[in-house]
Amino acid sequence: MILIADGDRVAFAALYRNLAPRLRAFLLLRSRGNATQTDELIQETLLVVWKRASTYDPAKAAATTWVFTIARNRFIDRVRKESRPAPDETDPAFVPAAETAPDDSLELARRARKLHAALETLPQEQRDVLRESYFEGKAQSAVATELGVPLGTVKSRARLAMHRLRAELEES
Amino acid sequence: MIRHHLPDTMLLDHAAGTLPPAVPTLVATHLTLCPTCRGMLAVLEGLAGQMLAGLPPVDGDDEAGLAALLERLDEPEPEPTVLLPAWNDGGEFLLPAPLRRLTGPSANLQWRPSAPGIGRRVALTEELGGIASTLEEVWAGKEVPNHGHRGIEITLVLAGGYTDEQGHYGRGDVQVVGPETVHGLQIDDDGEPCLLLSVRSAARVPHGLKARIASWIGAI
Repeated sequence: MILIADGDRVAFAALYRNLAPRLRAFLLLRSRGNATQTDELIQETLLVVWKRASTYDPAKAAATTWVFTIARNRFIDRVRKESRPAPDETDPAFVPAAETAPDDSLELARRARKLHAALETLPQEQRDVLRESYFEGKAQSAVATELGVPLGTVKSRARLAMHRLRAELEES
Repeated sequence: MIRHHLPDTMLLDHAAGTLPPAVPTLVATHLTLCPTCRGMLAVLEGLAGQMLAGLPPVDGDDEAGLAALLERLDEPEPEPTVLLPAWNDGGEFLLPAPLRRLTGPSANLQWRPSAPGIGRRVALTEELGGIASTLEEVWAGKEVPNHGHRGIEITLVLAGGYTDEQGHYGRGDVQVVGPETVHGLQIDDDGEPCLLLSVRSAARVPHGLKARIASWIGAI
């Protein structure tokens, strides 16, 4: 990503070849097979990566995770009729995070890593529900049908997973 | 200091882009005021990225795509869209930018009296998909008598504060109540009116929305 921030097109091409098939998997799933939109969004996402590579912070997330986050937000903004309003740092009402120790961002990164590790230790059935109902955007009733379990089970798995992640966040 | 935050499940729905109309504006308004929830949202988005990155790849014509994109790398960036006019009125900062997109300049708001002698209100969005949002102002020291709710009600305090059985709510605090909640509010008696953004669902909401709304009040 450092090379790409420096304008290295060979490194960018390598990243493109590596990530495009994986982004396609996700975007096809979310768009229920809309190939044209998927190809457009892959391009848009990688263009953002090219322009914003210098803002990528390896302490906060793996590069792949960062790219997928961009792709996901692009997809969501594309399909929503109203764009999602977002906080604006230049807004006079904007409340910045409290200034504490200079290693604050390291601390946030440490918490994020801990949380990611906690996600890995969730029981598979809870991870599946979390992924499908939230990150793939399926209705909980659809997830229940697909997994062949009652709706109440899907809900309780999602709740358990969230509690676990929240507990991890508060503890760290 | 914000004590009452957005429910995690609502943040997740925001991250997933599945919130019903009017709610994203309330969420973004709270996020403007709350570094804690912004941190949580960033973490949830990172988690989503981590999960999605694990999907098995699907091949396509990437050489063509790459060639097309390489042509575009030098394109100048579009100018950022300016959404907000300059705000000189000192009172405007009470309404964070995401909310001002909806209200316009506060001087143009068409206030109507609410309960006599208690305050005033202005409707922001109609009942789109069963959800309506309102800006409400209640005068300092007043009491809002015990009341129930037809559906769910999400309240974000923008100025002043109030106390109910759940505790005290000040600027930035969020309260989410369901139809089973009956409460009365005591508005802070410090001379400042209490300004609230309130998002309410109708008693009947589309079926797909029911589970999400229930998850916000922990009723799942």
